[in-house]
Amino acid sequence: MSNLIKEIKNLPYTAVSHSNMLWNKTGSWRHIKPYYENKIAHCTSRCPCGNNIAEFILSASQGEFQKGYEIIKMTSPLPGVCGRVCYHPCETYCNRGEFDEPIAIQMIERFLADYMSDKGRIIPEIAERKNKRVAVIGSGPAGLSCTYHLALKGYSVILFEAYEKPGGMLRYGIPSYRLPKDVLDREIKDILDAGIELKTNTRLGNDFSLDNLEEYDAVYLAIGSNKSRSLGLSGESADGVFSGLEFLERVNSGEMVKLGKKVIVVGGGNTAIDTARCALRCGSEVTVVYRRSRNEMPAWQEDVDDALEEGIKLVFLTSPTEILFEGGIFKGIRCQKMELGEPDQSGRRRPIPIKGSDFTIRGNNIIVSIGEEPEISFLNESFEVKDKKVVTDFGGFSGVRKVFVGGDLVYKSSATVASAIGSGKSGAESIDFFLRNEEIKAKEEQKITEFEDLNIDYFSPAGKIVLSKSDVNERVKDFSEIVRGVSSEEVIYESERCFSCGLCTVCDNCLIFCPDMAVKRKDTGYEIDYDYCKGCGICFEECPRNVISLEREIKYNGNKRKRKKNK
Amino acid sequence: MNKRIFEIPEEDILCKGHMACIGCGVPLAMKFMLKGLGRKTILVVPASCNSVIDGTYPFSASGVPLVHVPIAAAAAIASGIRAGLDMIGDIETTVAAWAGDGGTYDIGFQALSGASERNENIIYVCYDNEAYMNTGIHRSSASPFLAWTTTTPLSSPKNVPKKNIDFIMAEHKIPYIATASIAFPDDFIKKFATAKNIRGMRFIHILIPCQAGWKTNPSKTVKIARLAVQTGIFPLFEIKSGKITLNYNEKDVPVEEYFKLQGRFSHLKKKDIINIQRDVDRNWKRIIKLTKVV
Ligand SMILES: Cc1cc2nc3c(=O)[nH]c(=O)nc-3n(C[C@H](O)[C@H](O)[C@H](O)COP(=O)(O)OP(=O)(O)OC[C@H]3O[C@@H](n4cnc5c(N)ncnc54)[C@H](O)[C@@H]3O)c2cc1C
Ligand SMILES: Cc1ncc(C[n+]2csc(CCOP(=O)(O)OP(=O)(O)O)c2C)c(N)n1
Ligand code: SF4
Ligand code: SF4
Ligand code: SF4
Ligand SMILES: [Mg+2]
Repeated sequence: MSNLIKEIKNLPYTAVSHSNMLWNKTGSWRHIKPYYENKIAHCTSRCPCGNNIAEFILSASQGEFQKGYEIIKMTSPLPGVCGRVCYHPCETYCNRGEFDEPIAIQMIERFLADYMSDKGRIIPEIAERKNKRVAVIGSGPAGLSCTYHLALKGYSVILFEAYEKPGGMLRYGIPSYRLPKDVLDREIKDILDAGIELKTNTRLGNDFSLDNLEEYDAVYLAIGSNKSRSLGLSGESADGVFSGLEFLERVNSGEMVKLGKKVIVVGGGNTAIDTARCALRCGSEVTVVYRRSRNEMPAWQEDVDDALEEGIKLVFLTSPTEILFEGGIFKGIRCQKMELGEPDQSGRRRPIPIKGSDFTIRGNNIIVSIGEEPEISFLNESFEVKDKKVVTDFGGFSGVRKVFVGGDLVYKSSATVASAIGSGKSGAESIDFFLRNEEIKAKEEQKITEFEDLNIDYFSPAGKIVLSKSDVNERVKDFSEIVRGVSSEEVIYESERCFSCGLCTVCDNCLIFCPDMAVKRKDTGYEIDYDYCKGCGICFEECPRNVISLEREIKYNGNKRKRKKNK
Repeated sequence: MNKRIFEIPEEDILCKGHMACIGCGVPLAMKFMLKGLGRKTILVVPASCNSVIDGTYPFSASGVPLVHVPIAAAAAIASGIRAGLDMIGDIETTVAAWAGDGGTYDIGFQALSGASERNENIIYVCYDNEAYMNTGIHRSSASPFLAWTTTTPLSSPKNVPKKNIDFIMAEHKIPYIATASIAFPDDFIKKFATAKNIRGMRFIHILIPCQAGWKTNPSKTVKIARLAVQTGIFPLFEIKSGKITLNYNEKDVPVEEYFKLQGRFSHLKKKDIINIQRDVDRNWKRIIKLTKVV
C-alpha cells in the first residue's frame, strides 16, 4: 500500500477514478462459505438398482443416447428389462411429481436400452483381471447382475443354472406381452459376452452340492423363490389342475397350453394376474378368485387394470374349500365367501369365512397361483433360515464361509426385479471386499435433493408425454408387447422436463448472480474465487437444483479476533 | 429449465473488490448494466451507496470512467458530459447517470425533469432501494406505504404511498422508459442494449433489495427482487415512444409472499396486506388497460 500512497500524491485533483479495486480482497469479510457439491436426486435414492437417473436423463435431453445408456450400464446390466417390468419407485419419488407430473423415467430407460439394441454391444471398462474365481448359482436378475458386476471388477465367473436357458423369472415367469424375449436375450447375451462361463441344466442339490465348489474363492447363491405353494386340498393332482409357475413356464417356453373353455385362477398376486392373462391368450374365459378385496391385492395395480380391460373376471372375498373332480378330471371348486377382519402381520385385513356361504364355480381348469417359496431342502443347517428364506447381513453374507446370498432367496427381500438387480450389485461389491481381505463396508449416507431443496422459479409447467398401449381387442390375440415405445423427440422433450436434481447442468445461474464476480468458469462447471467471495449465499439460493452447499467459515482462533491477512 | 430471452455477454466489466455490503443488489445491477452498455460508457454517480461501493479515491471498481457528482446534479452533469463528447465528435460513447432513489425521486428530480424536457441524449438510471440507505435508511418518496425506515419508525410507519416515477417520466414524453429487475438478468441486459441504440433521453428504473435497509437475509436478494415482479408490486414493462408493453405477464403470487421475507414490513397486519393487495391489483389492471391503448 505504501507505494500506492506515494503514487496517489501525484494524482490530479479531479473526482475521476484511476485504478481498480482488486487489492481489496473481500473474501476476508466472509463467514459463510459456499462450495459445489452434487447430490443424489430423490428418484435415484429410491431406485433399487442405484441407477444415476438425473445423469442419464441429462444425457438423453442433449440427444446423447449412447452416453445415457452407458451411465445406466454402470449400475444395471438390464435396462431394457427394468424399462418394462420395474415398478418404478423412482417415479413415485420424482420431485417433478410435486410440481406437475413425474418424469417418465422408466420409459426413458427403456428407450435408451432399445435405441442401443442395434448399435453393438457396449459395456463399461473391465478392471484388470484378478486370478480369483466366483461361482454364481441361479441366473435370474440377481445372479445375472452379480455376475456382470464381478466380471467388471475383473473376476472369473461361472454361472450355474438349473434350467435350459438363463433368466430365471424374467424368462419363465414374466410373459412376453410385458417383457419380449428378444429384449431379454439381447441383454443376457451382453452380460455373458464379458467372458462368463454358463452351465445350464445344472441344478444345485441334484447335480452338485455346495461342497463341490471348494475350488471357487466365493459363492453367490441366487436361486430365487420358485416353488408354487399349493392349496392343501385333495384333488390337486387331478387332470386339469396346474400350478401357476408350472403353467407360466410352459407358456413362456412357447407352448400353446391346451386349456378348456372356462379357467379358474386362484390368487391375487402378480403370478395370478399373469397366469390369468396368459390363459386368456390361450383362448379361455378366465375368472380370478381371490380371498380378500381389491385393496389387499399384492399384484401391481396397473396390471390388474389391464387384466380387467382384457375381459378377465375378478371374484373377491372368495376362497376355495374343495376341488371337485369326476373320474380324475377337474370339474370345479366349492367356495366360501369371506369378510375382512383385523389387519394381520402383512398389514392387510385378514379374510374370515362367512358361515353357510358355500357355493360352486364350475370350470375346466384351475391354476393355483397363491404364492411362491424357495426350494432349499438341500441347504445344511449352518444357514440361518426364517420363513423359508435365508438370513444375511447388510452385505448379503450368509454367515457360512464364502457364501453370499441375493435376490428373492433373501429373508425380507422385496421380491422385485430391480431389487434383485440391486442385491446382485451389492453382492458383487461385498465379494470384492471379501476377496481383497477387506472389511465389508456399509454405504456412506449421501445427501439427497428433495423438492424443498430446489428453486422452482426457473421452471414452468409442462405435461408429461403420453404413454400408449396396443388396442385391447388386438392384444389379447397373442403375446406381443402391449406398452408402446416412444420416439427420440418425445424422449428429448420428456428429459428436458427433468429438474436434474442435485446435478450441475452448467446453467450459469451462480455465475450470473454472483454480485462479487467471484464465480469463475472452469473446464466443466465453475469454481469459487475465495479471495473475493463475501459469502452472501445468493448462488446457493439461485441454483435451481441444490448443487451449492454452505458451511460456516472458521476464521477466528478461540475468542481472540485475529484478522485474516490479505495476501 | 426456462430459456433465456437474451444471451448474456460473458465479459464482466465491473470488477471484484468493490465495497458493497454482503448480498447487496446494487453491484449485481451495475454488473448487468455494464454487460448491456459495454466498455464505451461514462458513468455519472451522485452521492449514494454507489459512491462508496465503487471504492475510495483514486480507485474504482466500475471498469469504465466514473464521475462522482453532487446529489442534485446527476442529470445536469451527464448532459454536460454528453455535450462535451459531442463537441469532440465522440458520438459512440454512452453517458449514463446512475442515481439512487433519493437522488432521483427527491433531490435530483429538478435536474432530471429539466434534462428530460430538453430530451438530452443520455441514459438516466434510478437504482431504487426505497430509502436513503447510505446515510442511514431514511425515508424517501420512493419508500413504500407502511414501510419501516429510521425516519418512519414503527410508531409511525410511512403513511403515504410511493411516488409513481415511471409514469411521471412518461408524461415527459421521452423516447424510452423501462423497469428492470436483477432477478431477470436477460430481460435487464436486453433493455440496456436496446436503450443504448436509442437517441434522446432514456430512463430505466431498477428495484434493488437492500439487505441492511430492508432487513432481509443477504442470500434472498434475488429471490425478493423476483417476488416483487411475480406479485405485481414492481411490474416489468417498457414504454417506447409512448407505447407500453409488459415484459412479464404472470402476476400469480400474493403480495404477502414478498412482505414475509422483509423485516421492514414485519409489523404489517392482515388488513394492511389486504389493502395493499387491492392497490396492487388495481395498478396491475391499469397497466394492462394501458397496454391495450394504441
Ligand atoms: C409371474 C411373475 C411376474 C412377475 N412380475 C414382476 C414384475 O413385473 N416386476 C418385478 O419387479 N418383479 C416381478 N416379479 C418378481 C421377480 O420376477 C422376482 O423378484 C425376481 O425375478 C427375483 O430374482 P432372483 O434372481 O432372485 O430369482 P429368479 O428370477 O427366480 O431366478 C432364480 C434362478 O435360479 C435358478 N435356480 C433355482 N434353483 C436352482 C438350483 N437349485 N440350482 C441352480 N439354479 C437354480 C432358477 O432356475 C432361476 O433361473 C414377478 C414374478 C413372477 C413369478
Ligand atoms: C445535498 C445533499 N444532501 C445530503 C447528502 C448526504 N447523502 C449522501 S448519500 C445520501 C443518500 C442517498 O440516498 P439514495 O439516493 O437513495 O441512494 P442510496 O444511498 O440509498 O443508494 C445522502 C442523503 C448529500 N451528499 N448531498
Ligand atoms: S430400475 Fe426401476 S426404479 Fe430404477 S430407474 Fe429404472 S424404472 Fe426407475
Ligand atoms: S425431476 Fe429428474 S432428477 Fe428430479 S427427481 Fe424427477 S427424474 Fe429425478
Ligand atoms: S446499504 Fe444496502 S444498498 Fe447500500 S451497499 Fe449495503 S446493501 Fe447495498
Ligand atoms: Mg436509496
